[in-house]
Amino acid sequence: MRGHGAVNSRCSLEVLIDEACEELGLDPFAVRLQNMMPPYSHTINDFRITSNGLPECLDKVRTASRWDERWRKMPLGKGLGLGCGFYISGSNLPIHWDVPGMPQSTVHLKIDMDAGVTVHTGAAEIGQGSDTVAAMVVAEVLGIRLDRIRVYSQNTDTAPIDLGSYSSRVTFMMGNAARKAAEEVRRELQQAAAAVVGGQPELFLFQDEMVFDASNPSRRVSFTDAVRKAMDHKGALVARGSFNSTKMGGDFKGATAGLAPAYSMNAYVAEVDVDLDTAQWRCTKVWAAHDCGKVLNRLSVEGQIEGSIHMGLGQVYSESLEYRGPNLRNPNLLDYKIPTSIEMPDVETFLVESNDAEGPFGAKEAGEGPLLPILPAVVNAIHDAVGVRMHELPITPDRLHDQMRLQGGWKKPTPLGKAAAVAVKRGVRRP
Amino acid sequence: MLLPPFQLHEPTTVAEAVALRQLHPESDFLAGGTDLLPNYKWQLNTRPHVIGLHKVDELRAISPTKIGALATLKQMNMDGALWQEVPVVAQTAGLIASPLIRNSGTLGGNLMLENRCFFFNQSYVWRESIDFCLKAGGTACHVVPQETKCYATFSADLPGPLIALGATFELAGPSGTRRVPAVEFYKNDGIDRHAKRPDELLTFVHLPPTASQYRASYQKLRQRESWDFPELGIAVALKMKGETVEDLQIVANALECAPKLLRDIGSGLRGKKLTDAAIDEAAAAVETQVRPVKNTNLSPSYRKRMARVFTKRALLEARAGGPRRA
Repeated sequence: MRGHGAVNSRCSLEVLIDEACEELGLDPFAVRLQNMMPPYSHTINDFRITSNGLPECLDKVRTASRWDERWRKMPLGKGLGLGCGFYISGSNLPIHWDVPGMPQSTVHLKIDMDAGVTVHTGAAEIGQGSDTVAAMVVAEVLGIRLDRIRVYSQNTDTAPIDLGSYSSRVTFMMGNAARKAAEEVRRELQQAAAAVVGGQPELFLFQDEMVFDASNPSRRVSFTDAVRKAMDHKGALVARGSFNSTKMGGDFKGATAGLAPAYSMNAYVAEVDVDLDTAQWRCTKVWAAHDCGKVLNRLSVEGQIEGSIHMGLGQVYSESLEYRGPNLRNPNLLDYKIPTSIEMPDVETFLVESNDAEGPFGAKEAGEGPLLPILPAVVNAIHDAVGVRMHELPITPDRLHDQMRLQGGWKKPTPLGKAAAVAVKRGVRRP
Repeated sequence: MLLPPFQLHEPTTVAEAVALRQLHPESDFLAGGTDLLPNYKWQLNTRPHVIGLHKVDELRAISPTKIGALATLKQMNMDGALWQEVPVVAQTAGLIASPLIRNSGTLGGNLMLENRCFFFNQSYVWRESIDFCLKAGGTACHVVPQETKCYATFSADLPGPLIALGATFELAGPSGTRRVPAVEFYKNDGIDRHAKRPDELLTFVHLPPTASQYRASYQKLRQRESWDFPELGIAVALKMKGETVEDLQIVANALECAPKLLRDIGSGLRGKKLTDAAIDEAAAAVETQVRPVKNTNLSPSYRKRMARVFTKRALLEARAGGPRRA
């Protein structure tokens, strides 16, 4: 399960914000925009926030879901809910405690006679596309086609140190390491190209399998020729790059928890349809905006978001570990109910590019972060649909039906304007 | 988990199958295998001999009055004549489990489906760790601890509409065949579940010719709209005479250890108009007559409340003419 530890607390907090908005008669979008940290700032507990695309995320989903026309105004049983989230792009604190100075990620790179590039990394490809990220970063720096590159990952005989695939760290940390390794070898190739056609090495650029002088593009050699020249009397070109996140955070106990070199940001709106007879509900549509800095691979990021929505939806819809004393009552995939493709909503994704100053080409994570907002978005949407506030997950139909009976029936929540008037009457000061 | 070893027998006729059964009393009949083999893997009621019925072609025929036990759920769901004459049967077959399971799961398999319970459908180690429940060979029921009866829930769908339509089940045994009305076939006991004797094979389901005069409906509650077993099912079969009810059968299914024909509720409406108020009243009566226990995923009190909702839905659909092929 992605995002362990963050998912449940984020859900509680986002639902709490929604409840506060309701009591104060405020729009959930307005409250978030008003209280948002600006980019490149510090939080009160000394989180260093760099890029922050949350305002744009909010804007995208607000427009796409037609929030202003529809929220609180849809017929009883149908509703919209907003949920936001942010997530570490790799834990700042390495999980090795006792090896000072050891890199968090290392990439080894080798280019041989055929101008083929091998990339060695210990980052574990677990289906999330980390091999693709490694290859794309190297290809971008060297201006070459992806099919020149072979990635050898998670082979303990050949892989350099990498802390692993956790804390949504691979794109940011391994990506930066890969970029540094490629840049190191690029310097050698610049020297070689300048030696062949003349010119200042540092002015040589790499694009479309060519190495050319930016000040005089007719001075050019092919990537292959540059490699051969660089290898003269030396053999294969080898380089390495590594990444260590800088020291950050306060001095208080627990200050290291949640620190990261960058944070992804996201905002989702979910639409739900609640059956008023049975309390069975379906999430019918999700508008998902995710700020992952720079999108390195659109298909992968969209896939991560859709997969996250499926996984997160299971936690709201049906998944739970039921115990009878010490015995897990549902230790199989019939009784532990993961949503199927039938329960999967239509998803519209919006990729927001805040271009983080420290990410590889500006990239941040898209691994665990995209899971967070779906849970509260659905819980808040159910409240908008039927006026029932659920404080327990999953929201199974029996639980929702019970809660409805406790509250005395389904009831559409008070519309925004009216709620605001009530709040003012109660003495709530308007901002 | 691995399938335990067994000897497979492959008869080609019903007579051979029945004879094999006599020869190997420690055996099971195997049709689609979608219930039996997963249970075998969990070491539930395994037997050293399995009599595979896949070559007994005489049991595959489908007609609106007689359906062979080996007809697959997919075939029943795709059968034009069934949709024409008894659409609820074709529709219900399509509501069972998932498309993959319906490809091999059979009518006979669904009618003979093992009752299900949290404390039974578990691995051997799991069942052993909390002391075997009654159904697993132990001495106490873990669902209703003070009881000496097993409360495993009846989880097959097709018996609901078949009972409502007045079907009979044909059984073949060593001394010939006999027919048992579907309504008398099941017993409200999670272990001693039905009237089939151990040496008999369920061969055919017969539907009375009058079945096609009924408008029927089956409404199923499940958490996910695929492959989950029913949390409840309500079957109704309605025959109108002009504006009034001539006959109405209501079956509450998957709420107890056997499907329950609620005779008095149906007969109470005979000769009356099936108004919205009458439907509401009948639905409320169903809620009071069902007794679910906590051994499925949704709470018993919710399932009881939903019996009312689903009865209403079933009656409304039946009144409107019954299901139509999508």
